[in-house]
Amino acid sequence: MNKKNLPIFMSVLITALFFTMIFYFVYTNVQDHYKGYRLISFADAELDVKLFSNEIKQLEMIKEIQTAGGLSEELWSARFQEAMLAIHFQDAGINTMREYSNLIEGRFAEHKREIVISQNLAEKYQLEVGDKILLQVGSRYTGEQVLSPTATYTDKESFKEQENREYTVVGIHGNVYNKYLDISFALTMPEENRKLSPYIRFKDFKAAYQNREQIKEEIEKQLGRRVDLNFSEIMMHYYGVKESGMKAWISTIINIISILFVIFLFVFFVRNIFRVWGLRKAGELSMYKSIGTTNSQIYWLLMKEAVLISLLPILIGHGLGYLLMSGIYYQMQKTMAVDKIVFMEFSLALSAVTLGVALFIIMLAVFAPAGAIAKINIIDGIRGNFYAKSRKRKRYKDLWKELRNNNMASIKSLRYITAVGTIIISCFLIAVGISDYFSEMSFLESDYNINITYKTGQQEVPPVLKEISRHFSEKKAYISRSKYFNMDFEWPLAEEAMASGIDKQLEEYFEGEEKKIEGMLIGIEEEQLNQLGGKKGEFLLRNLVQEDIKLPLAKAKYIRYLDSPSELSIYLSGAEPATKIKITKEITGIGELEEVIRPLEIQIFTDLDTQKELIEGHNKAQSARSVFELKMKVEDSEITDTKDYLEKTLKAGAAFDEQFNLVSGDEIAAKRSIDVRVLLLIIGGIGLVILLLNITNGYACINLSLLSRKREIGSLYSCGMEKEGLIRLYLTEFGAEEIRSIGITALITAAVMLTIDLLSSSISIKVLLLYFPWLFFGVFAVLIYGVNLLIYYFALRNILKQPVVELIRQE
Amino acid sequence: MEILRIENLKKEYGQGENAVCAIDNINLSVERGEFIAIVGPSGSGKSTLLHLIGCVDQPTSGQIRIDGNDISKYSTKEQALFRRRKVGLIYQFYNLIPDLTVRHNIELPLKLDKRKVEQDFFEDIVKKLGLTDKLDRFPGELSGGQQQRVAIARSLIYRPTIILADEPTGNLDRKNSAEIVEILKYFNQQLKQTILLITHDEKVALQARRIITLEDAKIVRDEINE
Repeated sequence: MNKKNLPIFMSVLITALFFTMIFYFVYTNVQDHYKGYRLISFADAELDVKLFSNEIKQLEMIKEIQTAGGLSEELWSARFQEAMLAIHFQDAGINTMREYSNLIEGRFAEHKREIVISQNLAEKYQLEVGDKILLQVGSRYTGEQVLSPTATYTDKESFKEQENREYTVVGIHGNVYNKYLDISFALTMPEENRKLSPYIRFKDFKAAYQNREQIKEEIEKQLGRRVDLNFSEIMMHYYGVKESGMKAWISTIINIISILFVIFLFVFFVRNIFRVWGLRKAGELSMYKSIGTTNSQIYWLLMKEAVLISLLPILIGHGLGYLLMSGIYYQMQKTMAVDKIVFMEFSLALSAVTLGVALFIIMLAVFAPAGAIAKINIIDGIRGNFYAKSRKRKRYKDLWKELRNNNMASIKSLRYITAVGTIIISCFLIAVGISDYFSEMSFLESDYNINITYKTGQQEVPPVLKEISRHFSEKKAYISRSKYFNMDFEWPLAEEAMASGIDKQLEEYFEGEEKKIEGMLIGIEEEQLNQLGGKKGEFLLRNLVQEDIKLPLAKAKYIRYLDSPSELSIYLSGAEPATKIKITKEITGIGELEEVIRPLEIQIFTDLDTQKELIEGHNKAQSARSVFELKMKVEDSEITDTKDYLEKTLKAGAAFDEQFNLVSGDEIAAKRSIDVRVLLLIIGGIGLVILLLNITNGYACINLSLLSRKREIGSLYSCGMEKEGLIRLYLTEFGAEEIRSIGITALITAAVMLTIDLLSSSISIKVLLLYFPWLFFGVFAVLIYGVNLLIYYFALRNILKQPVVELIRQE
Repeated sequence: MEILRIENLKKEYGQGENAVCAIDNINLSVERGEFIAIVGPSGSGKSTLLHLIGCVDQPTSGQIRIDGNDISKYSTKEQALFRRRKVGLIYQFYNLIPDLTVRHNIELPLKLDKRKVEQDFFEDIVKKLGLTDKLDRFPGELSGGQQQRVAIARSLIYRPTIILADEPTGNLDRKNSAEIVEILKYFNQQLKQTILLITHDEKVALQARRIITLEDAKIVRDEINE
C-alpha cells in the first residue's frame, strides 16, 4: 500500500468499524427487544377451552395460524432423591413457540420419557444432558391435605409415591422458582388423552388481529363449539395494534429517521475524508485535464481508485466492528449475570447491506472532490493555486480578524466532525442520566441491611418472624405489614401543599380519572408504635408528601399534605366499603423505622393487631395474602452468618402455603447499578471509536488546512513574522474553532434535553441536568478536543521546521 | 556610503559527496542608492545570494554586513525583525496573502512590528503604484502586474534599507515588466532606495546602473552600466 494512502485507509477503516457497530447494535437491540416480549408471551393468543392434542394440532389447518400448541395446567409432584420437583407439561407446538426461552443447554422434551430439569437440580446432583434419572411421581401431603406441586417444601410434609418413571435429561433450564420454595422446575411432554390449554402463534400478528372475528369463526367451525379467542396483551403492546393514526406509525417513522440519520452521518464522515483525499490529487488530475480528460472521466478515475483503496479497509473495519460489538454484547450479558450468554448473531444479510451501502456511499462521496476539481482552472490546479481561489472572502477592518475569518473555511469541517462525535456521546450520556434517575427514583439508601419479605395467608404475624425478632432483640429490627388503601379527595390539602401545586400534580397523575389520595396503612409492633408517640388502637398520620414528584426519593423534600384531618374514610385494597378511622395525631419523623413515602402517597401507622382487625372486617383485604416485612441492621461482617441462620430458621418455620425472600443490602445495590453499568460499557466502546474517527478525520482535515496555508506561512515569515508569533496566531485561531465546536455541542445537547423535557411528563430539564454524567462527558470532551489541538500543534510545527526559503519557494 | 558588505560568503547544501556549493566565496560591496541587476544562468546562485542577504536563508560561512551589522550571526528573532524593518523582498510570484485585502497586505509588515501606518506615505506609495481604487480587493481579483505592484508597495511601506527583487518581472508581460522596472527606478531615484534585482531579461538588466554576473556560484563580472 502506498504510504500516502495510509491516512485514508485508517479513516475508512475506522468509519466502517463505527458504522458496523451502530448497525449491529441496533440489529441486536431489535432482536433482544422482540426476545424480551417472547420470553414473557411465547404465544400470540389462547383459547378459553381445554382440548386434546390432536384437536389443537388441527387448528394449524386455519391459514392464518402458523403454530398451535398445548400447555397443561395440571402439574405433577415428583421426587428425585432428596429434591422435590414440580413437573410442567408442554407439547411440541409450545416447544416450537418457545424459540426464545430460558433453556440454558440442550432442547425441550420431544417424547414422554424425556425431561428438562432446572439448573439448581442439575448443579446439586451434577446432572448433565443425556443422563437418565429415576423420578418418584406422587403427591405431597401435610396431614390429609394434598399440597400443590408448587407449594413451599417443608419438613412437615410427607410424600406418597404413585409410580416410578425413568427419564432422559434432554435440557437444562434456568431456575424458575424462588430458591426458598425449595422446589425445582421440570418440563416434559404431556400424557395422551389429557386435555390441554391451547395457545396459538399467527403467521402475521397484525393481520390476524385485524381479522380476529373471522379467525374466531373458523376456529369455532373447526371445533364445533363457541370459544373465546384471547389475544396476548403483551404482544398487542409489542405490535402496537391498539394504537391508531399517527401513533401506530411513530415507531416505524422513528426507525426510518434513525437509519437515515446514521447513513447521513456515514456520508458526512466519508465525504470529508474523500474531499481531502481528492483535493490532494488536484495537481495530478489537472494535468489529466490539460491533455483532454473530461470531468466525467475524472470522476471515474477518482471513483475507481476510491473503491479500490476503500475495499480492504471497509472489510477489515466491518470485521473489527462486528468483533468489538460482539465483545461489548458479551460483557453486557456478563454484567447482567444472565443465565445463558449468547454470542451476537452474525447476519449475512445485514453485513452485505452494510458493505453495499458503504461502497455506494463512497461512490457518492467521490462526487465532492470530482466536482471541486472540475471547477479548478487547469493552470491553477497544476500549480496548486486552487486553495487560494476556491473560497469567498469577507473584508474586515482588522487585519488579523480578516485573516482568521477568511481562513476558517479550510478548518470548518473539523468543527462539525468533532461536534457530531461529542453530540453522539452526549446523547448516550443523556440516556445514562435518565437510566440513573429512574433507578434512583424509587430507591432510598437504607440503614437496614437485611430484609425479609414473608407471604402468608394468615393475618397474624408469622411465629417464625417473632422468633427471629426475639433472637436478634439487641439488633435494630422491626416487623411491619403495609396495606394499600385509597380515599376520595374529600379532605382539603394543607396550605404548603396547595402552594407547591400538589393538587395539579394529583390531576396530572390521575390524568382524566377521578382524583384520589393513595396511601399505605402500616402495621407495626406496639413497642414501635409507642416510640412514635402512639398507643395500641390508635392511628398516627404521617402527614407528609413529596414536594416535587419528579425528583428521586433520595433528593425529595417533604411538606405537609392534608389540612389537619381528624377522621379519614379509607378503602382498603382500593375496594368498598370504606373504613372510617380516627386520626389520633400527626407525625413527621418515624424514628428508627424506615418506610419510604412514595410520590403523592400518605402513611398511617397503627399496631399490627388493630390493622388485623380492620383487615378481617373487610372481605377483599382479608382474601389477599399478607406480606410481612422484617428489616434488620447487623454488622457488615455478620451478614453472611446472619443470612445462613435466617435461611435455616425461615425454612424450618415456613408452612407449605407460605413463601419468603431474603435479601441483603449489597445484593440490592448490585442489582440497581446493572443498567447504568451496561450503558456505560456501550458508551465506552462507542466513545473509543469516535475518538479514533476524530483522530483520523482530524489528521486529514488539519493537514489539508495547513497545506493550503503553506504559502501564507511563507509570506508571513518573509515579511518578518517570528516563529513563536506564528504558532500563537494559528493556535489561537484553531482554539477559537474548537470553542465554536464545543458551542455547537452544548447547543444541540441543550436542544435534545429541552425536547425530552417537552415530550416527557416525568423527566424535566432539571433532572436531565442533575443526572447528566458531567465528569465522563468532560473527560471525553477534553480528550477529543485536546487530541485535535495536539494534532494541529504538531502538524504546524512540522511545517515550521522547514527552512523559510522552502516555504517561500513557489515552484 | 556603504550599505552592504559581503565577505567570503559561502553557501553549501547537503553533506559530504552530495554537497552542492550554491555560493562560493563571494565578496561584494554596495553603496546606498545603487540600482544593481544580478544576472547569470540558471543555477548560478542568484536567488541563493538574494535569500542570504534577505535573511531568509543562512550562509555556511562568511559575513554579510548591512548598515555595519553582521546579519549572518543573527538569531531567528533578529532575523525576523530584520526582514520586517530593514529589507524589502519582492518575488516572482508576488507571495501575497490571498485572504487579506490589498490594503492589509501592504500594511502587514507594519502591523507585525506593531507600528502605526503613516497615512500620507501610504497614500503616496499607493497612488504612485496605481492601487488607490484596488485597496479593498483581494489578490485573486487582480492581474499579475497589479499584484506585483502590491508586493512592491508592501516592501516599501516601512522604508527598508535595501530592496531585494527576485525576478519581479518573470511572470509578467512586456508592458507590465516595463512598468514595474520604471516603478523600481522611480523609487531608486526619488527615495534613494537601494535595489538589488535578479533578472534573466537583458533589457531589464540594462535599466540598472550596475550589473553583477554570477556563474557557478561565483561573481564573474561586476561592471557599471554606462
